[in-house]
Amino acid sequence: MKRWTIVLSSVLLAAALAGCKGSEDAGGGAAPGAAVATASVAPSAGSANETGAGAILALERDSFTLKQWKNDGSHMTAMSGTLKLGDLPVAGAVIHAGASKRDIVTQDDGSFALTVDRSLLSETPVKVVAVDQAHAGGKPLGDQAASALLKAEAFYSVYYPIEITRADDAPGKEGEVEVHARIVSDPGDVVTFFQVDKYRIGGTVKDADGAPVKDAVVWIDRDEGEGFGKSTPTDAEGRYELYYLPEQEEGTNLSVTIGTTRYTLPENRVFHIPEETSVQINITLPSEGTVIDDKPPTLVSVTSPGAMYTGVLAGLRVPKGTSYTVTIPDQEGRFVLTLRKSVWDMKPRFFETKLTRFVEDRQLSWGDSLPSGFLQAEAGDPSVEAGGAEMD
Amino acid sequence: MKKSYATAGALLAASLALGACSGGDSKSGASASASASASATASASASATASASASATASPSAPATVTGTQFDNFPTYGYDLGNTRHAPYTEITKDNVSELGVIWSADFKQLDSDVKNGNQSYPVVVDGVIYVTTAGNQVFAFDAVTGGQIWHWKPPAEQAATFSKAGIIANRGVAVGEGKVFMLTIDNQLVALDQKTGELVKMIKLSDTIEGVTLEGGYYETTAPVYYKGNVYIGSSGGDNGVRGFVNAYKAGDLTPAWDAPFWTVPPKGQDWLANSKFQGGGAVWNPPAIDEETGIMYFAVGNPAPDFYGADRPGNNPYTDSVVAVEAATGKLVWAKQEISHDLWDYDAAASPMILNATVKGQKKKIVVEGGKSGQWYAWDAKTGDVVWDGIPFAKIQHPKPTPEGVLVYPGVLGGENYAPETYDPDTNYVLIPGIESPSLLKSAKNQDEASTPDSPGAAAFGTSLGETPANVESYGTITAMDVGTGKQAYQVKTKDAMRGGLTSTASGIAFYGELDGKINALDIKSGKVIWTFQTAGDNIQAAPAVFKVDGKSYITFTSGGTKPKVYVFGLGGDKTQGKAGNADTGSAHNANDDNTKNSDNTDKKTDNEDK
Repeated sequence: MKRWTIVLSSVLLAAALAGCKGSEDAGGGAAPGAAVATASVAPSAGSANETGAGAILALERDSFTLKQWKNDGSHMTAMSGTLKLGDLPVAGAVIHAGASKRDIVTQDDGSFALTVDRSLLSETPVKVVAVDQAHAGGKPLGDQAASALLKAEAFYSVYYPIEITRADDAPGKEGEVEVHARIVSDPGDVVTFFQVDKYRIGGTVKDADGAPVKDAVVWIDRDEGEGFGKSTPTDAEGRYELYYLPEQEEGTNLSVTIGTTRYTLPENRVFHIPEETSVQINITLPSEGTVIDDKPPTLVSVTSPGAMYTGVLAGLRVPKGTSYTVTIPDQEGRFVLTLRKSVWDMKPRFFETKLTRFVEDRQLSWGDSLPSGFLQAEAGDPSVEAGGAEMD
Repeated sequence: MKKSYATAGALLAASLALGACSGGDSKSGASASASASASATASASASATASASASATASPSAPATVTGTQFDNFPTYGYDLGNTRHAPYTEITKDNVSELGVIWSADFKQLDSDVKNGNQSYPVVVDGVIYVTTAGNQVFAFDAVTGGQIWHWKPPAEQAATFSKAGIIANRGVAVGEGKVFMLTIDNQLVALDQKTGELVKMIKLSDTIEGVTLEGGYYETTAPVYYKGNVYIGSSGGDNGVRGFVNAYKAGDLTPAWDAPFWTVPPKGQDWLANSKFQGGGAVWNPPAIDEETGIMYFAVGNPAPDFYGADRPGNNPYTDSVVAVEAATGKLVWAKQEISHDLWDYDAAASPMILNATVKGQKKKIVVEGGKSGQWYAWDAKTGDVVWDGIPFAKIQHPKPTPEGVLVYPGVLGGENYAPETYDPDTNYVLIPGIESPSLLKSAKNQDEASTPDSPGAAAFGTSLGETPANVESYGTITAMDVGTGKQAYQVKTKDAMRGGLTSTASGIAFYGELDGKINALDIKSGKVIWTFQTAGDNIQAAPAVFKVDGKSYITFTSGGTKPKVYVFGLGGDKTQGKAGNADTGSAHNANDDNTKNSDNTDKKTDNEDK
């Protein structure tokens, strides 16, 4: 349990925030996140500005190792924080943490409480969003104090520690190094990293004359169970797509909706959509009625390449344009980076990301090598200093 | 002049209710809720003779005013926050129930031609106004006594177009609190309307605060929200699309989140029992929670795991699917969770809302939480600890033979058991009345593969359509089971012609009211299990339970019907006894709806009436 009480200047604050947001190649310690952020205030008469002190938003902790979801709820952790103007507690200020947008109101002693979901990778900004009702040490806020408080921001992150097993010269690659690393989960946890999430159902909708139909929605639903999938509206070329995971061995209804008209397969006809593949279904609508003739050429159904993948990957926070490769972690979290030794010697930090992407040109499995362009750090992805992360 | 007087009176009444909440003979504490409120100016409004038998036709150009000065409400989905659906009203008795008739009714499609087929809306009645939704997320406020339309809200055309693309458009009603009417839309938005005018106060996308909660992501919303202590509580639909189910809380004042994070009902994909699953896990929360006002603990029922029939990739018990979960209403923190069906392979959601009862159990007063599952089993737990009180008492045929290529009948089928229809509790008899469905599903070990495939294309395998499964030719019907809470034994079971899909509402005179899919509304003598009154309405497919309320001391019963003729009715003693023709029951079989629905040009019909849980 760390409790940061360092006060930074507002100039340093800007740097700290930049680092927290994961700008490329930013320095900093393990799992980033300034636990304390301040903004200084010039004194002014008749209000809490008189303190001349900085706004301090402090969190009890700035980082958490990831605890997987447990049915006893133990992955949910309470955390406290305080908001102060110099030594004065700020009460009645409204704080937001991450995307939740819950109004967290500071108490008389400046304290506030929030809950951290430790099962989800994150780098969560905590910031002051409103001070209309706030007061510091019992006094109303002046404009400058309010302004300083509204700039106060801190972060906490939830991450898997990364340990480096070894770093060797890359065989046959002059000046490059092969870094063997591991994403570390808690003992007993099963982590399945990047894997197939869904398959694509795509194709075209055309009218009886062969002209593309725009704004048609293709809809599939299970014949004997609950569940459905809805496509994007067709574009000017009549193209649609939806992402779906068929259950085994079962019939699927298909329909096309244009405005309030619904076209269906003939009565009691269903698809058996093949497993473990994307498919292309090209539909030509009838000139009369609303029943689709379920034979070629009006209904052409073939398998097609590609799959939607999702899961956890690790990458490096390095300057733009720095290329490297990284493998998809295996079930023990082991992965291999290949990069220029000069880049590795600068001790870049890692980021961890939960990526979801449709990949059409290849099938992916653990151990497969991905180019650095494949995975970019997104806002909200935690940074990790390999080997230096503390466990608890 | 009349209008402004009435409005002022209503406002005053509302403020009295909020400020003093004197209670009347209602048990509810849901804010602007059950209260006997008197208003000095309300006498200017129309008198509540309420015996006119003519059907009301609401005139949108001249908003109706509220009739009456004294109101006893049905203020929330389950009458009280414990969802007992037991109203303390006694004017309608076993002796005079046959005097019930139609006070007024309204045809939603006449009021607005954009109203969709199918209706599963549970009316809420506050201070003489009935608030009811329709398929397609329209909201109507009617003067409860005359049927005059006070206001009507419909979503913008652009948004409504999205709904019809969504296919499933059922809605189960509103929550009322803090002068607002709350509804969830099919496209995952939370709407707050002004309770007096129906004007939109605010509408938020759930995806703004919970990432990925979109139609394209497989989520949708059909449940009624519940208002409690400044918050609006919501569940989630879409478990069978492989979404990650959740419950969340929003502040009634501004619709900002009241919890730091939603309560997720299943792990994130890639963790725990979803470590190797391609699916997200399911665990929808189809119906409103029950909330204990004494402890601030809320209880909700969680749906089946996904995929429903194949469990190989989701090892273990699959918590918290098919469970009742208790959390702190203020924070969403877990208190306890109890599972009904471990590692479900049959689509046996805990679908219907739980009830909180102060009942006599094994000779002792006890606060318990009860729930009947699609599994055809009924459960009771200690409200505080979750300790088992009654463990899966069957109220339906239960038979799970090993699947063969020819197919076997599995009981209950995918409709349940008890589907979304809520139970009611009668403290006098200590009976819980369970609405049941007896409709098996045909399960085969391998499916028909006579595919009419398309010619092979280079590098791709062709596939195509084939014959769908023929529905099993078996008798399907419904049941009402009276479960003696004290002994955990069935007191009796009543067979109903069609599946029980609406649920029950009881009164202190020992009567339970329920609708049927052929459009009949019935009264059951709770003690004897005898049907003592039945009335064929002009509509069909009553798929939601009634609400019972009073205006100026007179009792009324209101409910909605669905099918292709969605309507709302108000019954009372002395009403019109002219009956309608028997409607066609849509039994909601998984395979096909009745012809009237599937062949209708309204593209949303099939799923509307088939919408389960």
